[in-house]
Amino acid sequence: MPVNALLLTLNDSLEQRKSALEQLSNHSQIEVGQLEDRWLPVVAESNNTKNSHELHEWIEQLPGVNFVDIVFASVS
Amino acid sequence: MSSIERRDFLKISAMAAATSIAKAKAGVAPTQHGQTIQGIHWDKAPCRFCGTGCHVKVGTKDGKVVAIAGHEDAEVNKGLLCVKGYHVGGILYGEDRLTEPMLRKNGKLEPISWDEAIEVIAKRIYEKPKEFAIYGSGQWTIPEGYAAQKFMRAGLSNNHLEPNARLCMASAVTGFISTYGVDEPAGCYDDLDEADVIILWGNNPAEMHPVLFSRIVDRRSRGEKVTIIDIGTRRTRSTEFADHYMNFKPQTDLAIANCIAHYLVENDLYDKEFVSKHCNFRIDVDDETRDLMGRPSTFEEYKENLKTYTFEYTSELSGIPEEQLKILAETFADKELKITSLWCMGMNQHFRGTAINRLVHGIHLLSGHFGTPGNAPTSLTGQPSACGTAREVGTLCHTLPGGRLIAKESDRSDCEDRWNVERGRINPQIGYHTVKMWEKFCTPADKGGDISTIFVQVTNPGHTLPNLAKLFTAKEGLDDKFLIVSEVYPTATTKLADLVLPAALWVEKGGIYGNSERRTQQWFKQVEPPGQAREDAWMTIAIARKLFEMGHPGMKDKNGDFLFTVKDEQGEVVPIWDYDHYHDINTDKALYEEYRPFSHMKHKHVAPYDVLVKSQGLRWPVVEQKDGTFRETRFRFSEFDDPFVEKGKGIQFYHSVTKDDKALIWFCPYEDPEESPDEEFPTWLCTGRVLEHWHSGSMTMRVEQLRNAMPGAYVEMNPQDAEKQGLNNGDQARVISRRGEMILPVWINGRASPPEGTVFVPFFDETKLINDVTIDAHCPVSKEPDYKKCAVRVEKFHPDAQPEQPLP
Repeated sequence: MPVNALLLTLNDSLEQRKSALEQLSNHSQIEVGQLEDRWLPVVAESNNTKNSHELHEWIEQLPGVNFVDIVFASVS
Repeated sequence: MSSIERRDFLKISAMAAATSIAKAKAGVAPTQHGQTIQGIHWDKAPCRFCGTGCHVKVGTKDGKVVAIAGHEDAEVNKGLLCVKGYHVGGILYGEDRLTEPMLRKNGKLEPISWDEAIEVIAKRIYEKPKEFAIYGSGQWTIPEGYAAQKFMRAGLSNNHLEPNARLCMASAVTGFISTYGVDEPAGCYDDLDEADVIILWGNNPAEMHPVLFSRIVDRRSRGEKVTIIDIGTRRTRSTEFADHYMNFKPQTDLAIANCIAHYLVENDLYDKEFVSKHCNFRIDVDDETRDLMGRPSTFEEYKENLKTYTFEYTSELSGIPEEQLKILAETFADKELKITSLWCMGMNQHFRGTAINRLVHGIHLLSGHFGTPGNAPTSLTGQPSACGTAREVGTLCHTLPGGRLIAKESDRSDCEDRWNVERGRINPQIGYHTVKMWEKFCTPADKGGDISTIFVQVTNPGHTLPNLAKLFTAKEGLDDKFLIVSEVYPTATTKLADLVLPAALWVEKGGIYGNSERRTQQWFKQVEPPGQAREDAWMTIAIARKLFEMGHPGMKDKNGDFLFTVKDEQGEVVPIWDYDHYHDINTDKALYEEYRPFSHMKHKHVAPYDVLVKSQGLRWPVVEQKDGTFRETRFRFSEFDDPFVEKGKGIQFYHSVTKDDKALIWFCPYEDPEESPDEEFPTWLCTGRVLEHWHSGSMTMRVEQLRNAMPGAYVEMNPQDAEKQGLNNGDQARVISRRGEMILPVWINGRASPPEGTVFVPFFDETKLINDVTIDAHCPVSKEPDYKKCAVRVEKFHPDAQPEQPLP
């Protein structure tokens, strides 16, 4: 049951940022932290490794998200 | 604690970690660490894997590592980690950890006590001290490597001591030493933040040093322009981010480097002022002799030798179009650009590894792209302490601590004095290098095999040596050959071990590592090792003590005291050889502080232990300031930053081979490799790593997430080559060389889209040992084998036609 903290680097488009934030906030497995400049901390809670990868990929493809860096991982 | 509570703890900690990194990146607030938050205690450690030297925060609770976070205060990684790094905690908890010493009896490993194990080893050494060897690694901590160093040189007068770093960075060492007179890069990772152009010489940092690569690519997201030129024999994930990809035929990088130099010289575009002030010229003694220092040369001779390497000739030889070669040469000719070259195994694991290292240094010196931020030729290392332990402590068969050489009498005497042993204790004859050591071990005694016992610590040679049938598995069945292996998990090496010792891993012990950019990093023990697993440094000291008790004269210093005598603040001897007392004192600190003064001779002043405790690592030379603080050095040999450069010198190569503060620009010719594709074996084989696994996979394959992401090795093929052999994705193929063969599933294109006539196989998978196939021929100067090119034949495997070869 992985718990990962991700650091998202958002792009400069305010519209895309807003959309990305909305979609992230509405996702039941994602907790969104406070945006600091272009960097958004989020915590992703998944059921298994496969689900964790799917979540990661989903976030990566969101318009407005430039990079996804993993900064914390629970040790199962 | 219920699982829900645990998850809540983890989620709170996870958000705290991510928020603190976001704040740090945004420059909002300083971060805090080294404390207990929500029941999880956080401490620091460098990552256990590659040579990048990322700092992680280790979260422990109830005696276990429960979480890992990137360290936001770490300059190397600024809070980020790669996929391996954030799973590093999982390496401690594989189900098959080795937990007790085991001795092979009647073909089977059976548990014995530590006392018995130490006695068995001591007796083997006592009986045949000259036939004993230690084979360690760039994963040794500095105190572990130093203990092995002192035990062998001062204790046993035996130089058969090698790290596996011989297999990964020995060519970088000979390149640095023969160019600057002293080892290790002048630049550092700060160059990656400043360079206009990054040149990857057979290098794939997107997979091998991902945090460094994201540091480069991240600059683009900030609107900075950074050009990446990828010079490689196969496309990689790094290529996806490159502005120029230049595909060359294996080995021809030598010609490419010479071509750049030729263009600069012929067109009068080299940096005359830099060259005249700071450089001399050097060449091999003759067409046969390839040694470390060659003979002096002149600019005129250099220019004459380069004449062969026209764009036309080099293009024909290398396969790189002339237009691309011009781009490369013109880049070096542009003095306004800041250029950083990066390389790792592509240049080091090379039949002419020393030569290509010298040549890349040479074009930076020739063009003046050296010594200012962003201008640097920088080798990266593959292991966490290849620099700190193998190179700085000097655990190679010809080296002593701090850049001293066994062959040099004054260096030996200096070490003997520092160790308080009588003059002449250190054997003046250098030991066997890695390939030779294992060859001797795998040769019967009556046929000249004069190594009978090898003690392996912190590495897996049964998996990673080249040409395994010759250098490892040939040991099986040989009388009087005894293999001792300290390990954390069963491996290809423990399969043939006669004695297996369970080892503590990473934060189960304290340690100090030295990374690729001269940064020394310290950490404390944070959890207990499982069962009877113990520290490698303790094993060495315990063996030494047993020999001392047996009356071995080498284990005493001039006063008759034990070689590893450690005293507490009251001056009382702490019996650290007795494991019950090993932790009564900080043995790591005692060994490190004994070693530290050795680092001064070559101006590699490593920081004091207590200073390292308070930092996320410091880059040597670390020099004390008037106010008592310690200052690190980012740019070596440059007056604006290096305290050892004399005022007014600008650039000063103060360990110059020619004793005139100048570096050497070498001419080294293109030479054919030891083995090239032919009719029988028509394909080039290149081996290497993948993002998900580190080295032989003995740690990362125990982490479910990493194992699932990349469960097994494969052979990566060009579609045309596959079609010719009737191979499709997932088919089994035989990869056959003159030395052996391996059966692997086919992955067409794979991650790298290999050019026609080439295949790639990753080496992490112990069920598919590609080193049964690789070649043991090596660079004549560095003695580093070439894992990047040998000739193979690939054909479809028909399981009904013949049985699969049994795996070693």
